[in-house]
Amino acid sequence: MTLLEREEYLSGLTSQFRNAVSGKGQAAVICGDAGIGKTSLVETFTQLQADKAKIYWGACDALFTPRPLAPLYDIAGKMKSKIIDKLEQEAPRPSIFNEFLNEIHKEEPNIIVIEDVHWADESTFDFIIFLAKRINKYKSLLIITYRNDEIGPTHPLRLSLSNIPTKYLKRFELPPLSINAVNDLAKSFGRDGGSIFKRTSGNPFLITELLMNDEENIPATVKDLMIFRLSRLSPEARSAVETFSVIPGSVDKWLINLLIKNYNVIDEAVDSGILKVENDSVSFRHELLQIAVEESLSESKRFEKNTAVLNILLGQKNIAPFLARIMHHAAKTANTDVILKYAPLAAKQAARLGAHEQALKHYMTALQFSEHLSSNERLDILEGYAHECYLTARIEEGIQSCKSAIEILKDHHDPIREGENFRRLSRLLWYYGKDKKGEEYILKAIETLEKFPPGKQLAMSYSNFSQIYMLREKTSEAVKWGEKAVEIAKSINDVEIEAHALNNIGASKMFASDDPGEKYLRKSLELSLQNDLHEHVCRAYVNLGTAYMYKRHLSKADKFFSDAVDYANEKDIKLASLCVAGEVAQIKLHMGNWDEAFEVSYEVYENKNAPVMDKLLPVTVIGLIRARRNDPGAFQLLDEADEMVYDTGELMKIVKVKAARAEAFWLKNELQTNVEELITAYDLVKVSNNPWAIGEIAFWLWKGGKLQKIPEPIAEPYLLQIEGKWAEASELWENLKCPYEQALALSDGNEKTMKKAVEIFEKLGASAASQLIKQKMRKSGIKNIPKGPRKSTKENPSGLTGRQVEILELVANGLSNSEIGNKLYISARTVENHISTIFSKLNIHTRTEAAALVHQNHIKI
Amino acid sequence: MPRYLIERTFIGNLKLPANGEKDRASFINNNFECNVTWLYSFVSDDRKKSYCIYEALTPEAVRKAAGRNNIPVDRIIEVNVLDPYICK
Repeated sequence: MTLLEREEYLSGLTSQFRNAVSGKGQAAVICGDAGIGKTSLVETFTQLQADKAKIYWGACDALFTPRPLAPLYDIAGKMKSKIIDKLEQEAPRPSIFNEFLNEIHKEEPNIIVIEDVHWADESTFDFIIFLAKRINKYKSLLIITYRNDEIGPTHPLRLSLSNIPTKYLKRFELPPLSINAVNDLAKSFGRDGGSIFKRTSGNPFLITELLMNDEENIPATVKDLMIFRLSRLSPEARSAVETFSVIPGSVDKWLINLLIKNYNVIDEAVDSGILKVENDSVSFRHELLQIAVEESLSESKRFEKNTAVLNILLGQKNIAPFLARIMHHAAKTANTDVILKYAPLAAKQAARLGAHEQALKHYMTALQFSEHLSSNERLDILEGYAHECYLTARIEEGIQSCKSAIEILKDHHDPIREGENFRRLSRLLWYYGKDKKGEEYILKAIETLEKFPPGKQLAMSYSNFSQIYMLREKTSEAVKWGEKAVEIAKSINDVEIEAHALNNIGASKMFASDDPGEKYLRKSLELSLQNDLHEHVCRAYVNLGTAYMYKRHLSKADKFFSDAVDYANEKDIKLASLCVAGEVAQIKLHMGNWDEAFEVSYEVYENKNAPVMDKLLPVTVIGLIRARRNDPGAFQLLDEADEMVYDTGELMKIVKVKAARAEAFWLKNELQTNVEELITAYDLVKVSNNPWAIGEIAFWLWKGGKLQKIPEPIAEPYLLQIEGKWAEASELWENLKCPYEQALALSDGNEKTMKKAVEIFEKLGASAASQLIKQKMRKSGIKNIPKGPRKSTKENPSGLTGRQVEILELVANGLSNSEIGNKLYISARTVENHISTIFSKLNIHTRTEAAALVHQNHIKI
Repeated sequence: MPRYLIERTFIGNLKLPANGEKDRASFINNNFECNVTWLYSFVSDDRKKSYCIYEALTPEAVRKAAGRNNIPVDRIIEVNVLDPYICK
């Protein structure tokens, strides 16, 4: 693995070495936690200097009783000297040390490395201090490394080193890697940098171990390290560390006071690099170390420690702040009574705080023990679980748990609750891509609930029904059911349902290009923000974004989507960030950032937990990019998308999938074979009021020669194109910053605009479209069809063509015009012409300047 | 992992061997970072065309690696091995 974020230390060492070579010897002390990368730094540095200096390497050993002068043995063994003999004869130390100085003087310049000094014995300390104090008289660099987590502040090494003048002693304390570096590393392994950073606090050794191993398990090397450190503690300190290991995160002082009697044991554990003290709490130096200790406990010990902590927490007067921790220790000890009593409370508390993943886990823990529950209690947990499943995008589990709840309710005669579960199931089914099944259940819910005076449950069912119509883009039905929901919501003062219904009304109006729609959506957003209705805030952002996306107001849409993502991440609402990915990918696709569009899409495509609904657009975007680039796998994905979209009933997704498929067929010159599919889609779309949806499908139908008459309403750029006004259309697309669509319009034009279209396609990497248009140009007898900006020209920032680069290279190598001409089979005059073009492109005047540019690598050849 | 055949057209001649150890290391490192493996290539006699066999998860990864290594991509085709001995 490459050395990250260590440049400044490398250059510090290099400048010290430079001083040493000039006769002012230097000492460097490199310290940092275990695994921080001291050895890697020194190794990299010495490799860089290997040809400039003699390098000696010695190390101290991690033995209970260290070998005296071990590093000196290591180094002297490499020298042709009598030091080893003297050592064995136990000659007086000063004479041995002086002999050593004589030896290094013979082999100047040199670098002497002494590693892991924290394990050194007394005599090695003496040796190091002796060397450090005299090193400035030699052309030598002395490098000492130690773990500062194993050396207390009063350690003799620290005191001795502090006596050496800082003029030639530099101290480098290596910090942990930053989150950015960890992200980069994790990315190359396809892993999540955030969680790795959290678990390792940026320690490179631990990061490497985690990356090289299965994420779930603690690597054996870390365990070994921990067991070794534990074995050096006193029994009391070891017991305390073991107790702390079962407590996640840091341990507050009040809790420590209740757990241990003697504070000295903490100092002991801190000195040996296991714990650290911060403000009013104690924690492990790395989360991984903590897990390693916990895993090393025997089953009975783990039970004993957890029970002790659990009892202390349960004994507190106000347990609200400790609900999550109580759950943790109860689960570890399988304490059913405590789990079942506190799980729903903990889950609700977590949900209120926006920690939906945690809430989900609490319910899951409770469900594991639910055979001990009454059916009523079980029902509570199933309902809560289903709701959190929905919010955290675990649709299948949500459906299962909803069905279980409905099953229990069969014997309960609680129709209102039953209706509510029908409604919830309907929503989950919709997310699963089953629009028709979803409709079935929402009708069941309404039918059940309408038998009772209107309340919360009925209002919400109306609103969900409105939502189904909104997504199908049946405006009048969506508005009708939405208004019914608002009416009840207002009468019972339910802001949440009001916000939900206003969203549906506003979105469906906006999709139908009815501008007052935005007013409703914004009101919904405001209500949701004010009342902390997390899910509805996200929905409002997403639907505002979608409406602007339809209109190709890309930057505005982008803003709403990024607001949605930010908010969703903050509140842990996975569902929203997942559903936004497809939209964001589309924006990037329109803007011509296809690589980014792919990255965003691929992440969701690969995510096994992503619901069908959220995979649809990403799959479509990847398929379309492949079709446009002429890359393999396009139709495989577009077929996959088509299969998924079949049952969703969501108009926007149907339009995107069908349009992408039509384009892919068109690019293969096979639009005719797709026309039937397109006509079916058109029948569905034209009954909506959405001019953009209608326009997109009508456009491809027109391309396929099957558009009978121009539909209404239809978005302007599509209308212009269908009417043959390609110039105006291309201008509109250009203003909307959709280069691909712009080129498509230009390709309907004359010779000049077709050439421009090809140029844009080539720049986007749209080789399928550019080939298609070139073919069309050849057929209509157009000559001089551009070959497009050739790859090497594009990559060459100076804008030289391949031939020009070739000539430039020869010029730089000192060839004359006629020599170049001979080599390339062109006349010297032509060479001269090329050269003058090259010079003007590069803004240079002489052959010497040209040579300089090439040899400084400014021109890539 | 899928295999891809990548057709490339070089303007000017393809320089062989690659430009020294350092470039080669960075080439391989770029491939590693993009999660693609270059298996082998055929180069046309005039060194203007190459046909490379890569292993990669996606064609996009092949393009990303090519972009970082500053080499052209004309066409990517997914391929399977077929030779006279294992002809199925």
